[in-house]
Amino acid sequence: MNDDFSVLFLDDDGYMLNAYQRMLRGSSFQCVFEQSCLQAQNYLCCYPVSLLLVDYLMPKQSGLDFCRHKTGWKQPTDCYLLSAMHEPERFKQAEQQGIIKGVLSKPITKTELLLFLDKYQHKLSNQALLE
Amino acid sequence: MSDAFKDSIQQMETLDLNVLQSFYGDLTDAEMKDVLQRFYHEAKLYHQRLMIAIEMQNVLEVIQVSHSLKSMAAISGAEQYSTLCMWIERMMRADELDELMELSLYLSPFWQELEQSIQAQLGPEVPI
Repeated sequence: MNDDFSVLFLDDDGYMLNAYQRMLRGSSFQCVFEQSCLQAQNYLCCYPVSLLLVDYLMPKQSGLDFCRHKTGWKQPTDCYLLSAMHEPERFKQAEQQGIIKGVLSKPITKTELLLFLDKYQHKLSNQALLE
Repeated sequence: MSDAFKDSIQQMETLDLNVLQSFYGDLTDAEMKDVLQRFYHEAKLYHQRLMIAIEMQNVLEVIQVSHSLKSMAAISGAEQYSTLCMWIERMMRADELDELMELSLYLSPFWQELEQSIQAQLGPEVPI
């Protein structure tokens, strides 16, 4: 298993961030939670992050726009949007352009979140073994 | 709004703790009360902001606040209030002001029902 697997959650909504924290409490995943794009950007520039889960609709900058500007990040980080919006064309285009890897429906349950992170960790571990 | 919509939203659960548990996983009774209290205090501020934004017809604020409230309420098991916020957001995005104003009439009564349901779960020893 990839011991370096780490996840950054970015959501301007403190209540949702707290919910993710509660869902992941007691799990083995290394998670960081940021409420502003600036803080998240600073973190990504200083520390390696395997996976970024970012809210799509934020007041100052959308999650998609945040993922467009990966300059200075410590390592290539896979980005997923957390979205309650149904904008399949826009998301598909962003995936095709390599801006994001995919979209998770918001709100997400604890079971869905743990399953997703578990699968993703395995996927990255397998990729590392092949390289 | 159509009568079918009015009937369906009236019949939705005000507060369903099974939904809350399904989102958070296994919460203890104390943890559940903690989540409900936090939801109440955060959502109350958003609710007030939404009421003002609708009155002022502040389009961006209505969209952002109803969007946040929709998810917050959904994850906390407040299905009826969450659905109302979803429709308010949808109508504001579509610039359907008449529909929006009609929906906004439900905001206060639904919030009061939710408030009472949360208080009932917390018990009299934890006044909100």
